[in-house]
Amino acid sequence: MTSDEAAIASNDAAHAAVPGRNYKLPSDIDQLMAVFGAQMRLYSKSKIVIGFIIIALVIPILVYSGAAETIIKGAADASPSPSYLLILLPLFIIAIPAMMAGRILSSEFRNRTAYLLFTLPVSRHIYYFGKFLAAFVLSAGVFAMAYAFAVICGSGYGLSYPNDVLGSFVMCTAGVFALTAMAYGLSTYFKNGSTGLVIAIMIFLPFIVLILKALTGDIGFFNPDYTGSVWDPLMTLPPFTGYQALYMIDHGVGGMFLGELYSTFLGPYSTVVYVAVSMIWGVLFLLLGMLNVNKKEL
Amino acid sequence: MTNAIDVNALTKSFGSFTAVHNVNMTVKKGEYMGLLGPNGAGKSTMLKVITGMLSPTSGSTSVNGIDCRDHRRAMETVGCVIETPECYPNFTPTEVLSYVGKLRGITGPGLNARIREVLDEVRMWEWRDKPIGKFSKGMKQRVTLAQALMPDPDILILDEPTSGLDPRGMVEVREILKGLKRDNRSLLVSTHMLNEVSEVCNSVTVIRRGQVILSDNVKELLRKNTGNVTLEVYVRNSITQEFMDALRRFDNVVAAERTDENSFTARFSGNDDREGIVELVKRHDLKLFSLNQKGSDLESLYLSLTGEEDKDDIR
Repeated sequence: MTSDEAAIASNDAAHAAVPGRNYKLPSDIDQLMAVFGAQMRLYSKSKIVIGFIIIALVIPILVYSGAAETIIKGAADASPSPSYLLILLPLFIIAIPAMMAGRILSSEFRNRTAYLLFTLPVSRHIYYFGKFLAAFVLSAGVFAMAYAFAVICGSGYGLSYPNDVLGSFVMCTAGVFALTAMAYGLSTYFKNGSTGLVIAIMIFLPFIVLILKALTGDIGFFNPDYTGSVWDPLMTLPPFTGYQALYMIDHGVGGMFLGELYSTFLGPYSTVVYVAVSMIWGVLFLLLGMLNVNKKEL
Repeated sequence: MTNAIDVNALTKSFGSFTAVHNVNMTVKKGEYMGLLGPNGAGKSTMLKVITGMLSPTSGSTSVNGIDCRDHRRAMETVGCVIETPECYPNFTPTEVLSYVGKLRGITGPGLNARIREVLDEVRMWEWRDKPIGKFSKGMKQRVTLAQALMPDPDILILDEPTSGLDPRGMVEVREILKGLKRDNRSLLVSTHMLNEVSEVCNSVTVIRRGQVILSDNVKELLRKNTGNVTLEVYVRNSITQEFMDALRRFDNVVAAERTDENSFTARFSGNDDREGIVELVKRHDLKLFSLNQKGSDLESLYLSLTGEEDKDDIR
């Protein structure tokens, strides 16, 4: 058939001519959920992600079973504390979001799957937020399960949780949001993602704070007259939410050596301040990444 | 009447390099257009601007009258495969098509039925539940073609759909494309394979160094340009410079090249004069071995428009 012989039809007429061929674009929310669902499905097929989840969940069980107890307890006369079971929370709150979110987008561009997705009738911000939602939900879900395991295992010690476990979880989730957003937003600027960079920054930041505090004599367990520090506002940053979240479960953090070290990174502010700082931090990094994705040319 | 695709004064630059310069092009509804040009001509750049992967430096593109900057609405009735995209290797074809279908508003039992239809069309139904990472390049290409067909699009935009495929794969994809023709479907396919254009398309636009140099109906183009013939001649004796000079002075010869010691090509602007060439060879005592017409009429035309000016054989 030549172009001279072709019948010219409008789009609607063309679709109406073929029964059932009337596909209407779904709403932004439906498309967002489709992207979210596909990303969760991708996660379910990733051995690295599954491995990480298992490790994060197994730690409370290992501690409960006593396998890790002697390592973590430190002082011989230290009494068991609920916070033992989540003792690696400050490290995992950095590592898990970075692993989950730090490579999603960069791998899409590197592996050319973005060439398939970006030509579909979907706005770029829908892809962006749909994938972020999956990374955040999965990361927060891992910590939710870790808290649940810790509470269940702690009941085996006969422990009660005198302080605010729920508040601790809220603090933790705010930190997870902030750090997931940071890893995700930054990943749009790097060909191989931002996982390594984020983990490096977040590990070095406490060391920097430790040095700063040491220079001003503000480290609590070296200075019996310690009442606060000029560096305390830094403690509201998301990398320190893990320490704050542990402190909320057990104020002494168990009296053990690791707990003493952790207390260096505690600040005197209310939960609302920490959560607000984390939310603002997360939103800023998300917007930073969104700007880059919008102007990206393939 | 709204055209399927309109490109108006499109320019796309990357820094100081201009990939596409002031291009105007139209694909009518129901038209199958081949976008032909050598590597680096600007074909992919044009298609990327139309499909929203790049933004134009100046000018505009529209699909079904919708400006391509309104990406979501413009791409609603378009299926495209641009620059050999990859599907997620851990996904199966069913999972990829299900994802694409949901993004396009195909849900419920209609989704499964449509997945079956398109996989049948691209002959991949038996591989529907195998991970794509294990597929050959040709199979992956068919899956990406399937995702483009999911919404039963009015417009298909394909960027070198047979690129990197073996000859069998090329034939299969071309057969699929020919099978997709229907009254109101339009196709824009970029390629540097001439037989793809002549087998699949009814019109062609030739682009070179970012500019359109020709656009016409394929049959009309061939009718107007019959006589753009290149002869390839092999002789037994060594070809002398004197002979080449005489050949270039021959009537209707627009270009002549000595390809090696015993062969030459001669391109004619009008009808070729084979008897004259034979006589010239005899006069110079070169002893004719063979004389053939080189390539098809379309190939000769294409080379004359895109390639010959770059060679060092012009008189």
